[in-house]
Amino acid sequence: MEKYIDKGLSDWMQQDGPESDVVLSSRVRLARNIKGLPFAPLMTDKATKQLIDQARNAMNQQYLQELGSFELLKLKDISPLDRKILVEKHLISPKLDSEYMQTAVVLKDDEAANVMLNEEDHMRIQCIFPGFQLRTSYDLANQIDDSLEATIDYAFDEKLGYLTSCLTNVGTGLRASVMVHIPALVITGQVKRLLSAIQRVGLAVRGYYGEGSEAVGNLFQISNQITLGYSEDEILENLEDVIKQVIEHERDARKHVLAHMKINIEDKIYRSLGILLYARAISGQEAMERISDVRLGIDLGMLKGISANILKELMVITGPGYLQKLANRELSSDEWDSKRAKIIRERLANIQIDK
Amino acid sequence: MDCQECKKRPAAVHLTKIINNKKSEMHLCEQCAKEKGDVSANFSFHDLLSGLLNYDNNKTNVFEQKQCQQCGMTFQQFYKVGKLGCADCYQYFGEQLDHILRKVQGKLGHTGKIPKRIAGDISVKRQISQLRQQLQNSIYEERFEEAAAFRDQIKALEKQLEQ
Repeated sequence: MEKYIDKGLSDWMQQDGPESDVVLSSRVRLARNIKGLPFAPLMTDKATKQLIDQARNAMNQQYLQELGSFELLKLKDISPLDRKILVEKHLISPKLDSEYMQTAVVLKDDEAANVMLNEEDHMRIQCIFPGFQLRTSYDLANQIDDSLEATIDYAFDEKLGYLTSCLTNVGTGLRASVMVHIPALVITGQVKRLLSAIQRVGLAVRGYYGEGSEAVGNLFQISNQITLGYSEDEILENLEDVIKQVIEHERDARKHVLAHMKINIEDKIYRSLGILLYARAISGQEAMERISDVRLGIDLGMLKGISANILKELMVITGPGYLQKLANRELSSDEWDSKRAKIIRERLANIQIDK
Repeated sequence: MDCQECKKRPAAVHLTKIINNKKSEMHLCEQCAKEKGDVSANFSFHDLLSGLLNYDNNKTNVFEQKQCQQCGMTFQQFYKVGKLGCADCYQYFGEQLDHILRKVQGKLGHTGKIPKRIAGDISVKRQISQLRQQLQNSIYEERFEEAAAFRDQIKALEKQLEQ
């Protein structure tokens, strides 16, 4: 367990991927249920035990071990603070944490994949990769799915595909989602039009914190909504085509901003950098907004000496759980903000301004 | 983003209030939002379900009496919770679920991945239904030799299924 907590940054946060000037990460989730066990609303202790036993048995398959090293952890054996950090690292969902007495997670040691047990569905296979790598992410999830299915009988129907507790996931059970950083589209006022166009072609757009949340720090998650009636390949292709357009539009908008709004954009970026370098207390929301500006400054070549992955890193290590872990004690609300400011100052210490 | 009230949990409810032309924004976690009491913190899929079902009041009453013989969930419970009780609910609530599924998903008919161990039969069935379509087309276009070939292929596959 400790290795997942001590290692603050997963590979997807530290590494670049294709098109990572706009796409921060690509995530894929497959929802699966076991034949013969009740779904979440009627789940019993006995069925929970069966589910975890079957998952443990499936993990011992050679095929799964060939994909990497996996570990099964029951959430009730993990401290509340460590669980909070797993949520902040996107390794488990808030829902899995909130029902910790009955849930478990299978973690891959490089943190590129996990399988949540007894979430809304019996199994939720999730993979996350840096940059625009939906296919890589799906391929790994698909391989994990194949290896689990070698010993587990899934609830599957010829007409409706994989059966899920909620009708919004039935069929492929596939939710593919891409996190994009599009500050120039926000600055040039094009973002609303673009996002409503995206929704018209059957995709969902959410803020960084998922369903129902607003966009913070110019980060948006774009994902498929329909899971039935289209093949996995069609779903991924549709999302990829749209993301490619988002990438092009954002790059065009950045060029436009540099050509026509240079002084405004420089002012915005340097002001934000100033605040991050000198603030002694900063809220989570303001931090995200300022870091987004700094990240744009790095992408536009105005700021040097620091990795562009700073945005992904700081999103996680300035979270309440992680800050508390670093402090090794309970923190008051003022202390959160001052700890956060301190970590950001330290991480930005080597930044250079391109004059 | 952290909750403005407790500053600990992540904000999940985002409120914009406009009173006398003054706009104020609030970002709260679910717990604090509930405690504040002036907001429905849990609007989600299941809240939409009853709306989706209200297309015919008489039919809704019939639906409500349906029950899954495997897990015992009633249709009324289903649209209160928004989640099904087990895989067999799909069978027992069949027609009614299809109606909602068409609204939620757009179209029915899984065309994606099939678990490998049961893939054999299902892919044969998929093949048969494709061939039937081709058979229909060739009869319609009076290409009878081609139709006979499709018919034979269908028969062979059906035999394969029986074995």
